[in-house]
Amino acid sequence: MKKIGVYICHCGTNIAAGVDIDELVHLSGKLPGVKIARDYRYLCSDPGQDLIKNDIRELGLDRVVVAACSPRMHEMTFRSVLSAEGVNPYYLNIANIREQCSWVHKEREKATEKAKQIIRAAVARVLRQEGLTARKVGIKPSALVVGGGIAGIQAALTLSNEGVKVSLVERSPYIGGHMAQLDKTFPTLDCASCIFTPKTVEVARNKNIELFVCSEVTDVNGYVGNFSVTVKKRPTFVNTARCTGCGDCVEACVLKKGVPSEFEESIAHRRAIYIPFPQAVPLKAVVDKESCLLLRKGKCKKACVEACKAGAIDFEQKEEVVEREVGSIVIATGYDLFDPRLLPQYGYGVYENIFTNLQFERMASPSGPTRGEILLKDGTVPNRIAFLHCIGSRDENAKSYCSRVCCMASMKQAHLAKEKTGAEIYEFYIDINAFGKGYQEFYKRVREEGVYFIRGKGSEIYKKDGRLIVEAEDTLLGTPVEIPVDLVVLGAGLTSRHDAESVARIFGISRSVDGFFMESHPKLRPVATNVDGIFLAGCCQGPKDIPDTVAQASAAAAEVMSLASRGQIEVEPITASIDPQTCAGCKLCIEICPSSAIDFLEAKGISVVNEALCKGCGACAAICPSKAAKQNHFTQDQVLSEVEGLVT
Amino acid sequence: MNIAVCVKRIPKTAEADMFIEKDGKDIKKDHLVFALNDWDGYAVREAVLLKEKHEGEVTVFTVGPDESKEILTRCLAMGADKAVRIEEPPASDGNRIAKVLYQAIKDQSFDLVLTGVQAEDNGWGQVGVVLAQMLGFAHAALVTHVEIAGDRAKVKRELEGGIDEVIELKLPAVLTIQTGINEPKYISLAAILEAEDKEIKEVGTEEIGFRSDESVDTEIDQVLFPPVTKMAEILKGNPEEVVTHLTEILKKKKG
Amino acid sequence: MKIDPKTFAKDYQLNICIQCGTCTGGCPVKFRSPLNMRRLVREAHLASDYASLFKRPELWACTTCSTCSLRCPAGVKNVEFIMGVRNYLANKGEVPSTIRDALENTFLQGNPWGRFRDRRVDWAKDLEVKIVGEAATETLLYVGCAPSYDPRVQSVSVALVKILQKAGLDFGILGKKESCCGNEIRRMGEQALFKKLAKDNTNLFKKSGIKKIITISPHCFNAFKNEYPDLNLPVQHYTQVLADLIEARKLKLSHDLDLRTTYQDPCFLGKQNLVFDEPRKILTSIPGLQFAEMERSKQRSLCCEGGGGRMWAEGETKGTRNGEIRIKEAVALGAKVLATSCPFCLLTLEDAVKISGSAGQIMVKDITELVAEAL
Repeated sequence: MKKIGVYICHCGTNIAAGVDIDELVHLSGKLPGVKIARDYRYLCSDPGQDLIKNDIRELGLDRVVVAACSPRMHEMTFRSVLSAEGVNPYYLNIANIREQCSWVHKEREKATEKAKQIIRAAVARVLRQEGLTARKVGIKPSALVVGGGIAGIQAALTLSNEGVKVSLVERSPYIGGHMAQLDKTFPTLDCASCIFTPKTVEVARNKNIELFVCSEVTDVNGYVGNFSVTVKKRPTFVNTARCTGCGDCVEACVLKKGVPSEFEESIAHRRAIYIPFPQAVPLKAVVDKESCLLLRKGKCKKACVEACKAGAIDFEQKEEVVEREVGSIVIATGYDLFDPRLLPQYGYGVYENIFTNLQFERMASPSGPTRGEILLKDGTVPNRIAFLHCIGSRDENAKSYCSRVCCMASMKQAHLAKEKTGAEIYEFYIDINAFGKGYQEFYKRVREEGVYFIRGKGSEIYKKDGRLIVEAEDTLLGTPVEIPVDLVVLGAGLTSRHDAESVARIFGISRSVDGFFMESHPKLRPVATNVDGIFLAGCCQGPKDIPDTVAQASAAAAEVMSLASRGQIEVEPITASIDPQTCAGCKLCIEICPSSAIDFLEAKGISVVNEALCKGCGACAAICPSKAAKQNHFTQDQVLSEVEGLVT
Repeated sequence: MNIAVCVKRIPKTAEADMFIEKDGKDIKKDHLVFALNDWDGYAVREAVLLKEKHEGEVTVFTVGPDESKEILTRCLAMGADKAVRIEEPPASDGNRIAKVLYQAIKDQSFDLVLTGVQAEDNGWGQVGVVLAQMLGFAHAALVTHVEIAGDRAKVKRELEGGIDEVIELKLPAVLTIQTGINEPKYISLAAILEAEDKEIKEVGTEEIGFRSDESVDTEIDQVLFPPVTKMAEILKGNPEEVVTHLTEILKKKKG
Repeated sequence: MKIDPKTFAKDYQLNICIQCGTCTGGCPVKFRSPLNMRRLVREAHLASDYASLFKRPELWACTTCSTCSLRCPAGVKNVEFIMGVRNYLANKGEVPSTIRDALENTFLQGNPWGRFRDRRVDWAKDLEVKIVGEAATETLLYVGCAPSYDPRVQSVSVALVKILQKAGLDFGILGKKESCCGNEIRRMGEQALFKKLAKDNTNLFKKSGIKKIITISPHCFNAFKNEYPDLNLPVQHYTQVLADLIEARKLKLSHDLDLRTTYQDPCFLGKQNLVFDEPRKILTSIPGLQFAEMERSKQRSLCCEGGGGRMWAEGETKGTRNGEIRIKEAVALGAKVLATSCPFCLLTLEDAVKISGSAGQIMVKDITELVAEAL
């Protein structure tokens, strides 16, 4: 004889105002199997929970229905209540009479009738529920960090210092990401290289970090605590054990004109064999397969090989594929810059002396192609510079979100430009986003330095009499302006990486509408993803500045350590299972399973569910023609009984 | 004040190919576009402006066949309150038209009767003045400005050489309105469509007491194109020479 | 048809405006007229009395080039808003007198110039062109009002007919039955008249058994392609047709034209409908022609101020016309010819040549005229 306790929550006035609680209690008490029905103002509170605990103890209840808010709020809470009294937590059912009833209907009588139906259905279902046991999985104390920018570096260092073994995989030949390209950072004007070089050096030195550069993750299998990842290492055609980073090969390379340098944002060229920048970690030469004459055309006098005193160049080097087993993954793949060529009104790529913010960074950087001087293409110093905000951001014709950091970056660059050139500087803005610590103060400083702020988005750039003209409106004065300048810096926004889609697919994570990777909950779970054990850090999750990136990376590391230190975790048993007696081996379930969680046992000719990978979607149960596959906690019986409860 | 305006539907002939009917008494009109006579348009607008200033009602009258209804609709869209069409085939006799209008107007107490100075097609300029005579009203023709004060109207008349004549008339009066007296407002298609719902009163000539068998005083005998002759002489030379030559020719031809 | 300006905020998304000024900043008449789109949007959004707001003469200075709408980052429908205001004014009869005449003429004679309908095909009398309805054809060459009546633009029509005949294309024109496409009518605010023209024209096209339309003017192209609700026929601008013919080698350009030529992208063809490559393909296919790109070209082409009813009203603009600026830019390039593919650009730029005294230095020609010379 099942003994069900039904508990109806007032939730203050949230539920009580919308439905008649007394009627619900009255009805519940009369339902089959119900031993007791009560109501309480706030069931999720301690006394509320105690109320249920007492009843379980004294009345010997073995099933509980809580009619209250959405199970997403307190299913866990009430499951713990049952566990605390020794009842299997899966004998709980939540009837949502708030979000699905009292909150969305205005007529109290009709809402009450609906609530009655919902409770009837919940009670009918709970009668059919089965006790399930959560599985325990072990967590490997190792992690994969994807991306070697400041986010990846921070996560890797934090983890490795706690004894977690880290595999750090970076696509480009160096670690440091975009931060390595920056000159000085806002608002403190710290030199970017100076502050992160100690970190990159430590990464290279740290025994707990295995660094892969020129590498990409190509495949991920497994589940939280037990991922197996495949890493592909591109051949660099340089033996890193021998290379000393002396640079003689670069000097000798026959490709004198070179190709646009990625690190220099195409404002300078590099040879086919190159060292990314002087402080690069690792400081090793790298051959670019696309531009190397020998690799592309088979004909080259191999001046580099000749010049290398360490004999480090090896054109026979092959791609390497390695596998690693890790417990958690932190994705820190960073951002791409919005391509201003998509907005032809700015003349980017048409006119010289129009640069993106990153290109300006390279000019301002002492290790850059102009040795830190701000120069026009003809080598002269500009007298007037315009910074245009919101290029590709806050724009229905490009990206609709605000890119967060460009206002500060623009003002910092204005400050640097003013310092270096003494030029007249104009900032064309819509709003000034100076939200962080020290940011408003920096904005004030820049204004004090005499930078002109024109509130009006740059509408167009064209050339007249040899000068670049910025067309806009000074909206505060209400007059249209055309300002002739020598140099324009476009504040291009941060976007998701161009291959974010394929990366998301490899890891099984989702993307938000804006293209960045999606966090588990926008407010309360900003580093977790929809895949247990995979976390996000840095700009791959959304545009952010360095302090926020570092904070988020530390948070992701903390989540990883929390998993690792537990050693094992419980995984919800709401998975599928296939009855080996009934299974006909038709493999329809294998075809439809989105998590590739069903294996086929050739010997026995049946399919079997890998519970670790199963996400409990129920697709196999739905498609199985012989009803051999069933979804725990969502069996056909249970679902149908719920339907019956609704319509009877 | 009660104002009557007499309007006419005329064909637009600028640039049009003109053909003479077989009987030689009229031009072919099938291919032409018809519209409200330009002068009458100014008259209607003037009436509407006066009505807005002095309160009252504007009634438009036209003498013509069914097709004439479209110009009455336009007048209603322009702000006229009532419209009356008197059924008559298109007449070419100004006196006759005036007689018909007289019958329609005489028993209603209008303070002011406006017509255009002339029609774009025949250009006789008769109807307004003849109507005034029949009604026994004071009248002024070629009016370029109207002011009403009490029972008097002060009007300006356009004379040659840019001179204006100012006249004061006692109401009721008939005024024939010259173009340019006011700035015509644009009448949108939406306004016209709305005006199409308004009622147009249609009466036969017998109803208003006009005997359609009354003899016509004037008849068009013939319509013809002006004879084409070659009389162009090109004068060559510099301006002084040309002027001398031209002066001689004018003297000789006593022009 | 009562229009209530209180609905404008919702109809044209005025409330979404972030007042960034991109619209005013990119407006081609911003220095010639007090028209300030950004401020107008804000004032209309917050206004309770629209009478004085909409009485401003600068509302008629807008050329409907659509740069503002195309660039607006927030999604405000700027150009539609101006057209909505003009519709509101037109329904009340409050339009400039020249606009009034253009609209009335279109209603009476089927063209805003007020020219007699029967004169519409005079330009083609010696060309042996098929008249749709009298002879069978599936392709309509829709001529348009300016190319039919304006003596300068008539040479474009003549040239195009000769080119198409030389290429062996089967086509016909509507002749006297052709009426205004209504594109400018709509932009001048006569929405009801536009609807009527669209309906009548659509019926006429369908009854004539036409399967495809070619236009001379980008304005007609825009109306048929984007604004006629029930047309459902493929429409091409003549530059697209000529580019195709050249590609398919059906048009042989053998005569050498030793001319340094530049090109004005018309707003209704270029920035609004993204047809940039075809005109350039045609020009660069002409032997001997040296093509030079203007500073402000393609999406950044400077509006000639011919659209939006500006052929019939000045909107109280003052100062140097954009046409003159354009001619100066073309002359600075060393160009002997400024080519275009829109009748309004042709007329306004040629006027500008005369006003700026550059008649000896540069000529304005339509692409058809250049191609005809190169045949």
